[in-house]
Amino acid sequence: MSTSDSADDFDSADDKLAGAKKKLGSRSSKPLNRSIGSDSDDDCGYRAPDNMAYQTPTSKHYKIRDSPSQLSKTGGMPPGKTKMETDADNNKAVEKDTRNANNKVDQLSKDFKRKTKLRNPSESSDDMPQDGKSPVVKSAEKNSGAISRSKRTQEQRKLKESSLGAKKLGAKKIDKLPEVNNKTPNKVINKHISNKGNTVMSLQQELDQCVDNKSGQEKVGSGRSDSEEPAELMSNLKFKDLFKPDGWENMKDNVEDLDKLAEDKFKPVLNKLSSSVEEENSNSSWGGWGGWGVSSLINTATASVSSLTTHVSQGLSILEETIGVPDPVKLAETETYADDETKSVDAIEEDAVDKESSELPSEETKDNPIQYLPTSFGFGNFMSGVTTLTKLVESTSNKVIAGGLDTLEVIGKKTMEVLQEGDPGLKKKRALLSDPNKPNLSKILREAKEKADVEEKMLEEKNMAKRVRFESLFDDYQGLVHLEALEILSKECKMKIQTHLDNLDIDDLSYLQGVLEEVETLCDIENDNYDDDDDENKNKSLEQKLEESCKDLGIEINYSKLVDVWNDMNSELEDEKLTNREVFAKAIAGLARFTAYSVERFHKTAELLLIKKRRSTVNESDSLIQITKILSSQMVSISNLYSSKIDKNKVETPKFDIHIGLTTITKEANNAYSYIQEAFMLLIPIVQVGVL
Amino acid sequence: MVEPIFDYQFRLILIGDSTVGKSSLLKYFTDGKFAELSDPTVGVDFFARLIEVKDGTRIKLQLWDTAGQERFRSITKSYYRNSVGALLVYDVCNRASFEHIPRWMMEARRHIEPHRPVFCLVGCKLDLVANGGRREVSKEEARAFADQYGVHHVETSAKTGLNVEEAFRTVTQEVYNRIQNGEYKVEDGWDGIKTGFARPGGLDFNLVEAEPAKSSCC
Repeated sequence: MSTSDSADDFDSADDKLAGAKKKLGSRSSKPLNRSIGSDSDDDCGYRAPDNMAYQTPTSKHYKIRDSPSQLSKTGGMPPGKTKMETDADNNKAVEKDTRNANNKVDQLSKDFKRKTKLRNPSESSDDMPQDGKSPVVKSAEKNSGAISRSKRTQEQRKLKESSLGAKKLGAKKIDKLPEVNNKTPNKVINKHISNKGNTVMSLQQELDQCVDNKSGQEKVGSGRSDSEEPAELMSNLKFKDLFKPDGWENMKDNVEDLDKLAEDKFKPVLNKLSSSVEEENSNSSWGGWGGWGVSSLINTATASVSSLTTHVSQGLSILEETIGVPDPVKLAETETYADDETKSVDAIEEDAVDKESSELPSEETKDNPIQYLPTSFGFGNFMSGVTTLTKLVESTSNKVIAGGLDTLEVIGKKTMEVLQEGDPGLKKKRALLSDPNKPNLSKILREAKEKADVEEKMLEEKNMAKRVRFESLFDDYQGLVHLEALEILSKECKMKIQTHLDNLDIDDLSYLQGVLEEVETLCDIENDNYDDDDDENKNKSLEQKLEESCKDLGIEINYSKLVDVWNDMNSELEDEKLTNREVFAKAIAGLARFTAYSVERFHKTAELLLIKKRRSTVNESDSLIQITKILSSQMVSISNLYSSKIDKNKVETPKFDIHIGLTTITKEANNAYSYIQEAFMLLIPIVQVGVL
Repeated sequence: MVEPIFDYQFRLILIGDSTVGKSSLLKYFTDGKFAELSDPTVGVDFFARLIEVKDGTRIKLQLWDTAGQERFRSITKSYYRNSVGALLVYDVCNRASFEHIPRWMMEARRHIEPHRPVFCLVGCKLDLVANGGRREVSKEEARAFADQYGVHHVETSAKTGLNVEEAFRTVTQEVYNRIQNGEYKVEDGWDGIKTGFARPGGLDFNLVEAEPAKSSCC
């Protein structure tokens, strides 16, 4: 039971590569079984005072260590390669997720490692009967060096290929799974696993001890030998495959073989590895490795790993504290013990652990991890899932190299760094994890849609407001700025006239003033006696009228732009499906556009008049008046055009008050009319300046 | 059409000899298009575009595209005064257009006074050089000139769009920086810099926003 659960967890963890959230979810779903199953976790160990309980954890430790060890190897081949890969991947979003998953695994493994260090020495001596077998193991190890080497190479290649720690871990686990099964026969947790002799367990314990007590190099070596055994199995299997319940059963068949392998080849290998590195180099079978300087490689890997480990632990501690996860606390407390153990290992690793422990000082005070288990349930499914995973991992590994573990930690740490990018303290992600009421996907999507709808509506209203606002549209069509520019020219002309007048003697002054007043009179639209209502003009199109009026300006300008706008309006309204609201919007926009273009034409007219060589004030003023009248009356036409469309419109427009709409159109048409008039008034000084 | 949502409006003016490519530069900047042929500008034309400076502040650029023709010179100088920035435009394949730059610059200085505009020296038609055209103004020379006067310099192509955005962005950012450090401020009677949402009739944006209910329904 428990095993399968935990297997699922791993499964989910693997899936998690696609997304941290998902992982959490899946884990949360399978929390409680584990506690019942009493896996070989710390909790279990504490709960069950019998030896078996202790053994189980140990075996798990071994397994975990194995996978890291392989990692460390990969790191060793090109020293620190794993780290480099991780760095390179940092920028890739997809891989971030993967790392996220890896990180969790790493964290767990790290914790296990601490535990292992803590327990293996003491527990094995106290509880485990296999202690006496360790010598045997060692002797066996010596004999299998050659075999292990070739397999190791294969493994390393594989590891290289997969930059992701999770994959590597999975692959290794496959290899070791059988071992685990073999070694943890009597344990309640691993019910479905076939029973294997105590010898295996003892072997593993032996290895573990070796790992703890020997130099980093030796550990690496032992780890290799362990992992090599199942090289065939390792090949293409993944995390998922390994931990599937089915997979477990299948494993049974292989278990015996594996055991054999373990005894025949493993022990020798371990022994050999445990002996000095120099021996390995001198050995002809290791020839390929000789040049490598295995020890240095290993050291390098270990060092890089441990330095990273520090960071990882920081990130993890933050995460743990913030989430309020009890399990991590428990685990952390073991760190203290681990410290003592670590010292015997190697200095680098020791430093790393010290830092970890120092970072979690409060956690040390807690003695009994079991106390936290209940609280962890309170925390939620997530934690229980984590615990399950933890237990499984712990139970599975027995032979691991410390350096390899550190490599995993490095990856985990890197992952944390990536995770924390743009999310200091992991606040967002923590919120996702810790929120028990976390909305499901459909809810999120629904909310997103609602939000989008609201935004769209607001945008629509805003656009609508803009659309029906004459002044805004007038500005958008550059009418305002043209009016402003025209005003600038007009003012300059006025100033020029005034300056000119100031410099005239009285006679000239009075004469010129008379001329200027005359021009002003000419430009008085109200007093204009030109009758544009005669039949001849009535039948002319806008285009014809404007063309005729422009002739007398004496400049190269046409007002065809305005004719185009007018034609556009008419063609637009031929659409039978227009609602009145749409017609209304078009009316305002049309008025604004027509007015803006009118002002623009006036502005251009002014500019061209000002650079005109020979001015003819009378013709110009007359022409401008005609144009102004045409444009002004066109505003009425435009208003009528839209109003009649709205009047006759049969398309229902809900919530649209026709009267307000019509009134607004009329109002804006008047507004447009006054803009035209104002623009024309600005033209007068420009005409006047021509008489100077 | 420009969204009315902006925090500041800067008025920039483009000056330089005729046919150096002022209008094409603006057309590309505001429209993303390039026209092989275009009529010479009469007096002044207007373009507008919204742009964001580095801190996200939205700036509406009101761009005054002046005629380069000599006959409009008397008119175009009237338009300088309310500009906060001036792009001095020359043609990299037209030596004379570059040699006239100092005159354009002095004229702009004189008419914009007492305000001190942000200048940017903009070389146009860089694509011609790439296509075998003869470059008559070296980049180094132009850069040296720009350094001498303490102005920005950029070479552009309105045909390929190269550096067009950068030319305007540089000026905009510089104007904005000067607002930030207090050198420029919004002043009554000077339209070089205006705050956003100013609408004729004293309408501000909030009113516009509230408008739909009033004008278009019920």
